[in-house]
Order: sequence, then C-alpha cells, then structure tokens
Amino acid sequence: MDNDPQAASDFHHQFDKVWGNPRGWRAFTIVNHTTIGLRFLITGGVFFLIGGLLAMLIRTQLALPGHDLLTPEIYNQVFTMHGTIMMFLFAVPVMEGFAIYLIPKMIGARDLVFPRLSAFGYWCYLFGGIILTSSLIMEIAPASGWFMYTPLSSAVYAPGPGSDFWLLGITFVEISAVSAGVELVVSIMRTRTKGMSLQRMPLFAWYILAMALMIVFGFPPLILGSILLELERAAGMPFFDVARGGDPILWQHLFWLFGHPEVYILFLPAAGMVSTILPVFAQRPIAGYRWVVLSIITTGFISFGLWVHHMFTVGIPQLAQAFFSAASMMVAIPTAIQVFVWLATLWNGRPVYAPPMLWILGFLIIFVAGGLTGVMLALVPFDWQVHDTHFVVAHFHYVLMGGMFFPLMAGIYYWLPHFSGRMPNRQLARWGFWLVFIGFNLTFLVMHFTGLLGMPRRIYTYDANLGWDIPNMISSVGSFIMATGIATCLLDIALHFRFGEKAKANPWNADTLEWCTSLPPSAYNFATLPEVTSRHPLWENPDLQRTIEQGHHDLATIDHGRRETWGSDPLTAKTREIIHLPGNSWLPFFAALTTAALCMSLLTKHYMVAIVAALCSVALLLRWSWENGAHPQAAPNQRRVENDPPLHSRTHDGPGLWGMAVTLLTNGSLYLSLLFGWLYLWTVAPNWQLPTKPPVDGLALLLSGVCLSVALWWFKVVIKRLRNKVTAHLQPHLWGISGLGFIHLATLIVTWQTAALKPQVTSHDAVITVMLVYQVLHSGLAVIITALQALRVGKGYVGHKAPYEPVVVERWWVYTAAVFWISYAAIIVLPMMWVVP
Amino acid sequence: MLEPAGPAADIITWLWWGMFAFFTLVLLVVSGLWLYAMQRHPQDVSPRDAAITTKRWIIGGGIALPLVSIIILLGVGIPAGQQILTLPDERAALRVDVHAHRWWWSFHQPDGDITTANQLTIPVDTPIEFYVHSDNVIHSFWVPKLGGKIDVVPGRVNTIRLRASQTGLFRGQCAEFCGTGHAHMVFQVKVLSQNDFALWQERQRQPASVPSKHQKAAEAFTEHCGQCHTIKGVSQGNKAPDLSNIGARRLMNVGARLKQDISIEQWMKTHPTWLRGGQTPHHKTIAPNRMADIVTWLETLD
Repeated sequence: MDNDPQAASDFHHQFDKVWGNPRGWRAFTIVNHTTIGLRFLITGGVFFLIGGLLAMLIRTQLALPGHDLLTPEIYNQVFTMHGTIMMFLFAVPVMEGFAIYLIPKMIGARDLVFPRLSAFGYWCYLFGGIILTSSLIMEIAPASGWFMYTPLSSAVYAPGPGSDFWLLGITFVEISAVSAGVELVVSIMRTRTKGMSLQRMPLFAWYILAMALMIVFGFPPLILGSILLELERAAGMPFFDVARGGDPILWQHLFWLFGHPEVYILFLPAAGMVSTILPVFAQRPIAGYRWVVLSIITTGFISFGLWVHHMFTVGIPQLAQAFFSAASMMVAIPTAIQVFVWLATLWNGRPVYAPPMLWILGFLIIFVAGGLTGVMLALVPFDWQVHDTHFVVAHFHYVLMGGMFFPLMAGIYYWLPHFSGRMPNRQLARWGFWLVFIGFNLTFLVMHFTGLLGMPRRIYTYDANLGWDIPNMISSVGSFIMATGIATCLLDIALHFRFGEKAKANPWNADTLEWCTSLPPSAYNFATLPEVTSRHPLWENPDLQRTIEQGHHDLATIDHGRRETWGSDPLTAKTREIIHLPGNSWLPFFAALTTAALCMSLLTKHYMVAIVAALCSVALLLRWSWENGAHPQAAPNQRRVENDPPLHSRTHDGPGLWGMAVTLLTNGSLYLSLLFGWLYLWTVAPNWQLPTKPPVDGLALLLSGVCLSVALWWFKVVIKRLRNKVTAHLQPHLWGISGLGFIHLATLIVTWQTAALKPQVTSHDAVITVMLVYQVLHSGLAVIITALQALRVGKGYVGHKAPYEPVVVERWWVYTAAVFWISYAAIIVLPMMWVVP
Repeated sequence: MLEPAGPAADIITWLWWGMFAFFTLVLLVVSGLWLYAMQRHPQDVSPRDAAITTKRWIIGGGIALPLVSIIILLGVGIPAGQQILTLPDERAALRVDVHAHRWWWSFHQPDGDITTANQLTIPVDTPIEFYVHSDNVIHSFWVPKLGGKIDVVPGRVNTIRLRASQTGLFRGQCAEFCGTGHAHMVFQVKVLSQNDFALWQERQRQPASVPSKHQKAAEAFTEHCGQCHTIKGVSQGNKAPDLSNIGARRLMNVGARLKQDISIEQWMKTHPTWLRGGQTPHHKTIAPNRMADIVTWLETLD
C-alpha cells in the first residue's frame, strides 16, 4: 500500500463508509466527536456574541450618571442574562467543545467512548440555550442575578416566569455539562492508545480529566438547588422559606458549592491550553511535568473547600471565616507553580511571538493580576469592604477573561489550522489582540477604583456627585475598544477560512498526536492507531502521520463495519479489549427534543404534557440502551483479527461499567447535597419544626428495604455465577430479581402515600418527600432495567458470550440500596435518637 | 473607602494600600521575567541545567513566594480583622436596629425610642452596634467610609459594630442586589458631635405636638398619608418611611435621576417613578392646596 495511491485511497474510502458523516436531514444523527466538538464551539461562539452584546448594553447604560437607556427592570434582566449566558452557555460549553474535539485525537482514539451521549449533550445544550435566551426576546428573562439568591428569586418576590426560565433552562443545559464530564473521564481513563500510560499522557488530558471530574462532583449541588427552588416556586414546597422552616442561606451554600469549583472548571482547561501551546513555541518539553500534574490535582481538591469566601458578609462564624480565608489563599500555590513552570519553560527555550503566544502573554499579565486581587479578597476584612462592589466585578473579569478567554483565543489561533487546514493572518491577529488587551485593561483596571470609591454592583444607575462618572465613562469607552478588538479577531478568523495560506502537516511543529491527523481531520482521526513510547510522539517520530495513514499501525481492519478503538488499562494503557462504538443515530436528537418539551411544559405549567414528555424521553433513552452490546445495531458478530483482544461487549469489563461508576459519582454528589440540605436545615434553619410523631412508618419502610437488599444479594449471586460462566436459568433469575424489586417499590410507594407528610407546610416534610421520590425513581429504574436485561437474555444479547451488561446494572442496584439505607438512617433512625426538648 | 472616616475603614484602607504596593511589585516582576524569558533565546541548555533552573523557579516562585506572602498577609490580616470586630476602647455601645425594606431603610434607636427613615444620626467616637433585620429579601447594610458591610438576611439578626471618627454626612447604600429599587436604596449617615447628638436625642424625645397653624395640614396628612407613614403623635402607618423628622433630612442621593437637592414637593411628585414594583403611593389624589399645606408642615419637622 505504501506506494500504491489507489490502494491507499480505497483503504480510506472503506473507513469513510463506516465512519463518515451523513448529509442533509441525517446530519441530525451525527455522533462523531469532531463534528459535535465543532458544533459546541460554534454555538458557544454565538452565545458569546449575545452575552457580549448584553455587556455593551450594561456599559452604555452606566457610561453616564442617571442615564435612562434601560429601565431597572430591563437592566436587571440584562445583567442577569449576561452572567448566565457567559458562564453557562459560553464558557463551560466552549471548553467542553474543545475537550470533545481534541481529547480523542490527543490520546490516539478514534472517537469518544459514548458517542451518542456527546450528541445528546449537544442537543440539550442547544435547546436549553435557545429556551433560556428566548426569554430575553420576550422581556421576561430572569432578573434576580445569575446567582439567583432566594428569596429574591422566590415566587413571592419574582412572580413572573423569569426565575423558572433560569432554573429549568440551566438544569437542562447542565445535562450536557454532566454528560460531557462523564464521557471525558471514561474516555481519558479507558481509551488511550497503546503505550500512553498515565505519565505519558499529554498535560491537556490531565487538565481535562480534572475538569471533567470537577464537573461530575461540582455541578450536582446546583442541579439539586435548582430542583428544590423550582419545587418551592411551582409546588409550594418550602426549602428556603424561613417562615416554614427553610433557610435562604442553604441556597447560597448549594450555589457556591457549585460556583467556586466552576471557576476552576473554566480555568483548568484554559491552563491546559497554555501548557500545551507554550512548550511548542518554546520548542522544549514543559519543565516540571510532574509538578504541573500535582498542581492540577491540588487545585481540583482545594477548589471544593473555598465556597464560603463568597459568603463572608452573610454572618458566618469567625473561625469558619478564618479557615476559608486561609484555604482560599492556599489555592494561589498550585497556580503559582504552574506560572513558574511556564516561565521556566520559556527561560530555557527559544520562544517566538506567533499569534497564540501573544494571547498567552496577555493571559499571563491579566490572570496574574486577577489572581493577586483574588488573594486580597480572600482577606476577610478587606472583603467586608469591597464585597459586592465593582472591585469584585473587576477582579473576576480579570480572572475569567484572563484565565479563560485569553487562553481560549490562544487555543483558537493555535488549533485553527486543525479546523480549517489554513493558517491565520498575523497582521490582523495582532491588531485584534492589542485592541482587546488595551480595551480590557481600560475597562476593568479602572473598575477596581470605581469599586473602592464605593460603587456597589448591580445598580442600574448612579448619581452624578459621587465621583463615579469619570471612571465609569473610561470603563465604557474601554469596553467598546475591546468589542472592536473582538470584531477584528472574528473578521480575521472568518477571512482565514477563505484566504488563509494552506497549512502544511504539523504547522507549528507540535509534539502531540492531534497533529497526526489530516488537516482538517477525517471522522475517524487515525486510519490506524499508533503506539506511543514517550510524551512527545511527534517530536520523537516526525514521520508518524504518514505511517498512520498508510496503515502501519493497529486496528487496520475495517471490513467488519464496526467503529473500533482501543480499550486500555487505565494506568499502563496496555490494550485490554477492542471497544466498538455505536454509529449515527436519531435517538439522541429525539431524546433531547422530548426533554426540551418537558422543560417547556414545566415552564408553561402544563403538567399533563410534562408527564407525557418525560415518559417519551425515558422510552427513547431505554430504546437507546437497547441498541447496545450484542444487539444487531451494535456488534452482532465478533469476528476480529487473530491475536487482537476481545470486543468489549464480550468481556466483563467495558466502558459502560466505568460510565456507570462515574455517573453514580455524579448522582451520589447530588444525593449528598440533599443530605447536606437536610442536616443543614435541621441544625441551622431558624424555624425548623420537628413533628411530634415521625410521619413515615419506619416498619413498612424497613420491610421495603429488606426486599431491596435481598434483591441485591440475589443479583450478586447471579453475577458471581455469570463470572464463572454459569448461565443456567439466567433469565428466570433476572425476572425474579426484577419482581422482588417491584415488591420493594410497591411497598415504598404505599409507605410514602400513607405517610402523614405535609410537604407544603414544613421544610422537614418537604425534604423527606424529595428523598422518598428520589428513592422511588431509583428503585423504579432498577426494576425496569433488570426486566430489560431478562428480555435481552431471551434475545441472546446477554449471556455467557456477552456477559457485559448485568455487571453494569448491578452497580445501579448497589447504589440504590446504599442510598436507601442512608435515607433510612437520616429520616427514621436519626429522629429517634434526637431528644425533643 | 479611600477617605476613611472611622477606625474600621482606616484599617481596611491601610491593608489595601499595603497589598496594592506589594502585589503591584509582584505583578511587575513576574511580567518582566516573562518578557525577558521571551527575549532571552539561550544557546543549547543541557537537560541537567534546565532541570536545575526549573527546580529553582518552582520552589522559589511557585512555592516560597506565595507561601511567604500568604503567611504575612494572614499574620497582618487576621489580627486586623479582630481589631475591627472588637474595638479596644469600648465604651457603652449605642444600639441601632436597622430594618431593610423594599427599598428603604428604617433605623430605630431603643435609647429614647427614636425611629428615623433613610437617615441615621449617630454620635462621633462612639461604638455603635447595628442589629440588622429584614422581613423580605436579602439586603446588605453598608456605609463605605465607616467600614465593612453586613448582609441583612430574613430569619436571622446579624450584627456589625462601626464607629465614626469624624462628624459629617456620609453615604450608605444597600450592597446586596434586592430588585428593581436596589440602586435607590440609599441612606445618609449624619455624624454629630457628642453634645449635638445629646441635643438631637433630647429633641426627638419631646412629646410630639402639632402647632395650631399646621393643624389642617396634619389632618390632611392623616387622611391621605397616615395609613402608610408614621409621624410621631399624628399617624402610625408602617408601610412606608417614618416622616417624624423629614424636614431635617436631605433627599439628595435618594431621588432617581435627580442631580441636585430637591424639595419635598418635587420629591412627592416624582418618586413614584422609581418606586415601581413596590406599592406605588397615591400622592396624585391629593388636592393641590392640601398638598401645599402638607409640604409646608413637613418642612418644619425636624
């Protein structure tokens, strides 16, 4: 094939037939990560422009004292939506888009491990974003700030649908963040190419791994908070209402439990870009790889212990303030380590000022400044003074623009040849950078001063005699300069698609595998999967792209029509199995569409429609799970090349197991947030009321739990037999387990329905109700998926040759039982031990 | 805050200038090093040398620098915070109960049972203990020149202690976003000398009486305004600011889009425009001559 262009072309044609993207209407079925990643990036870019437009409105309004361009009602919607769009619809999705696009290419895989999930995530993001933004056009957008503090966002003080748009829309969009989080973790851990052990993994993958894990743990508190607040608004169940035993501060805890890690969720991938790009332009390996990895892990951990520094003025005990103050400053250490690693890399190298390096320079200055003001804010007495002033606005724009937007621009310029096959224009890029850099500093450097003068945040106007007019005017002028700069960059990027010089292979002389694909890449990335022996495969072997294309590496067979990639050991990356990936499908699109219908019907309070939409989504998702493993759509036969490892669906250890484990981590984080809420309200809420008699029948619940535990034990026996290849009576066993689970579920529902709960009267009963509903949903799903397993045994998709799925379902049972007993302890045992005074 | 008028704000201002100087230096040094590293272009660096410089940078800049800075900062900052909280020369503190409404403030001083709205009168050089209450949304009580802020959270009573070291007028403002009137939730702090304050207290304690020439105005007021506003000895409305000493108040800063001092009359005519979202007052239904009477009378109240 080496010297035969015809054979080479045929070879790629065959790959295209299996992997290629359809056109026309069927483009909705695409699941390929390259396409999905680009869709995320472009959609995020559009939302960035909308958010930017809102920012321009804010700056125009504040340019003059007493300016009446916007009424306070509109202004409040504008700043709320500016923050919301920038955080949830631009920053997070764009970073995910980059990760989705790059990660498989960097780790030598052909796609992400759950391609349909990527597509589902994208559609949820798109539909959620459209629903949320549409509220702005109708002038009924949320107006309680992006932080949605209750009671301002409650049904009493925000009676319109604005808050519902936020709570439902954001929760919907969050599905996409969490699903990308799960998928990226599993992909990075399980699909690295042969030889890419953890210590050879590109730093970007480490950063994304940390980001994805932080999403997995960090988003659920907000999702739970949003669900509870929506329940309070729509169903009158009090969680945050003081009079009925709730506490508005609980919302702040849940929000910032998410909100602080969120900052690092944005910063880490951006820092990952810097750590990827900077060594390439210095033409040296990064100095101190291990230090960087250590910093990433430390940042991830510390970031979950800082949230209270957003709440220093709510009246938190002194000691707690000192603790969180010190912890907040500690996060400066891993960040400083990274900065000095980058510095050392430049120091020893011979860097050049290409456009990406210019943006990285801007990043350094702005981000370091933002980090330093962050340390100032961590000092409690200073925070008391400047909290909720424009000083804070300036600080977090330095951190977020500096720490996320500037590296993002560097990344866009750096990977532009990857998207288009063309090189950016240096001149325009330079203009764009300097306009943004100058405009940014003009806007936000001055804003520190405005804040010190005493100007609070979120005021739509101010009086002329306070000395705030000149700094505000400067900020407004600066913001327009910045907008011009961004327009210049956009123009540059748009023009380059048409006029850019064609990129040669590996145009920046990079070291990572994503530059071994063709430019722009094919849907399958690599015709054959290379083995790597160092951290810098392309510096080691500049010829790699050619040998990959000519089929000299692994998994070169395609005539079986399966989309394949390596399933490897999480630590050593030894290949363990061949993962076969599902192809294009309508299911993700329609599942997201029905979820959007659910969201819309909840918004408009059509609850019957909501139930129908929810059932449709569940049905579609179950259908999705049906087309798996040995199903004819997935991998009916297991023909493979001799000596290759087995297909994952024929083993006990596939990506699904990991997917389930990571999903349960997310789910567990949600449950723990609920448990936290229960204990928090119990100990802190000013008007917490304990009923004199326990509302739930403990004995009936115990009976239900025993059924659940026996069913779990039974399932474990079945799994043990399956592992020993004993599959006699597998189907009746599964039916039996499902049946026993059903008895448990029925007892649970009866106990719940006969309990003396008044969820609209006290927080106590409201939280118990949520716990019971959570349990019903989990038990119900356990019953259904086990029944489906029994059916699949009948179809021959599950059995001793395809033992992969029951192991995954077992995890769900373990989780369901664990949650059941924890809830039991929390709502039955704990109150019994509580001495009522 | 840059011109502090109380010990708490003083300490914070010093902290700020100290941190500002030190961190500006850090920023300049780091950026300078970076620019220099971009220009340096060393000849081939052996891996061993590279490893040594890397280690130096990481341990020196990445660990030692932030660690030392943090220790110094906390070493100075935590005691400074303590100092703000417990004033060393503690005299009997004056208690003020602050009630945050949508979107105005009322201040109640139990000593003498004095209530004022949107204007707080306190003596100089006296520690004042503020107890903040809200029965609606979260607000934040803040007088920038006197010190830090404290959130006003429904369901709990937070406290903050402040002291003014100069007499004069200072601006206070709600710092936690509380809805459409947030930008206008401003109040004024009038710091009097100890003597003047005692006199003021004395005057406020006088039993309220309406001079006969304003009797008609007071009747009109009771009819039109009394359900919402309180004037000591005349009406007991509790939905809107207490007007017992309205004549002594300057409405400056409070009015929307108003650029200078305004009269009570102008205020009554225009403030419904910014009170939207709240209960709009029905000042328009007052007949012009009665209105004039009311205004003349209100101007005498202090």
